[in-house]
Amino acid sequence: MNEHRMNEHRMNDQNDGHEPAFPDPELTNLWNQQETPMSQATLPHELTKLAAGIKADHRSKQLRLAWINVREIVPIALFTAFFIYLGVVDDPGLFVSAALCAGIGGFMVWSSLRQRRIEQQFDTSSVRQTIERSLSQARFHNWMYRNLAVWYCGPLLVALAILYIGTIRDDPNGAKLGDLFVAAWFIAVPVGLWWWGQRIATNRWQPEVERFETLLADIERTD
Amino acid sequence: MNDSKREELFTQWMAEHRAIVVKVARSFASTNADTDDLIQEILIRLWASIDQFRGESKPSTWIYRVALNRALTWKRDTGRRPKTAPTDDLSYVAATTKADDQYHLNRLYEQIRQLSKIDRSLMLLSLDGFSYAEMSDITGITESNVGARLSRARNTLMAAISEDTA
Repeated sequence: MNEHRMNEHRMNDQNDGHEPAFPDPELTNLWNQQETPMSQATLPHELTKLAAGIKADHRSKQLRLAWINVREIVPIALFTAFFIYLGVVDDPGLFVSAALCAGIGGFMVWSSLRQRRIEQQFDTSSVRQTIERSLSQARFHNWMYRNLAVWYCGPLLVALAILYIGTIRDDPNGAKLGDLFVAAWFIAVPVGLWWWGQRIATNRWQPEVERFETLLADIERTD
Repeated sequence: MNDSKREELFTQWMAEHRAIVVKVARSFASTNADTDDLIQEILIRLWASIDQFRGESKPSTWIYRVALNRALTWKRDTGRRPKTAPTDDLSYVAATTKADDQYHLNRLYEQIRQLSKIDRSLMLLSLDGFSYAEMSDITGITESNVGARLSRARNTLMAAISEDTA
């Protein structure tokens, strides 16, 4: 059966006016004779078991993917809720920070959806298109993680300013040690997020971008 | 497509073409653990791709396409386990294969892994008898470029093999 298919392919090659697919019959013979452990799983129940295992793995992978798609939004959603709460219990001016956070969250969702639409334009029927899609995906994530902290800085620093203006307005001499902790926290969070974002971008996404660029350059190379 | 139909097609593909998955995995991963990992990744991708299979191409062409797409974008997970020895213990070759053939096959895979990833893909397709037109369709490289690249890759491979056997 396999031999028949090989001959069929070779005939196609000859019909196309090209040389046979591989000129070394000894090597092709060796290649075609190879057997693999998987090929011993010929019993139907073994194949069914394999399919069941792959089905379960696929489901857990989809769940993991769903989490990856939303995890970038989680911190900003928590910040929005936090500033709404502070706006209610402390200073209504903090609703500005909540609105800024919500705006950033909206922008992140919009850019993710836009990226998804871009990725859908790639037809993954060829290796080239798959690499182009993966490159686009890696570039998007690299950009997202590089800029994450910058976006977070805006609402957090605005919130810090509002809190301090409020404290000074209410009681110019009443600044307490606790306020310093709040200030330190508001500065530490964006710095921590910046560090986290840069680390992910540098260690994970930048090498991915370079890897796919190299692959694409290789596929586009003409001999 | 419902799950039972998907399962039926998947088991049918595995019964007839599973060797493609192993060949691609062995050509892109250098250790047994990585080969296992890549096989698993390809199978999951194959399972997910069943809905997109319209029957316009042969199942073997489709499986090759999916397997190569996954193998080319796959990256060894360095965080999960330490690097183990290359697959020289031949556990990916069935016991029925003659010892001499096992040795030559292993050397062949080793030489294939020395090629660039794109040339490696073309070499696998070539060894499995695909035509230039089919290779061009799977990879997205023009037919004339497939021919030129393949010719150079074959020369490199044959030279390495002759050097090895000398």
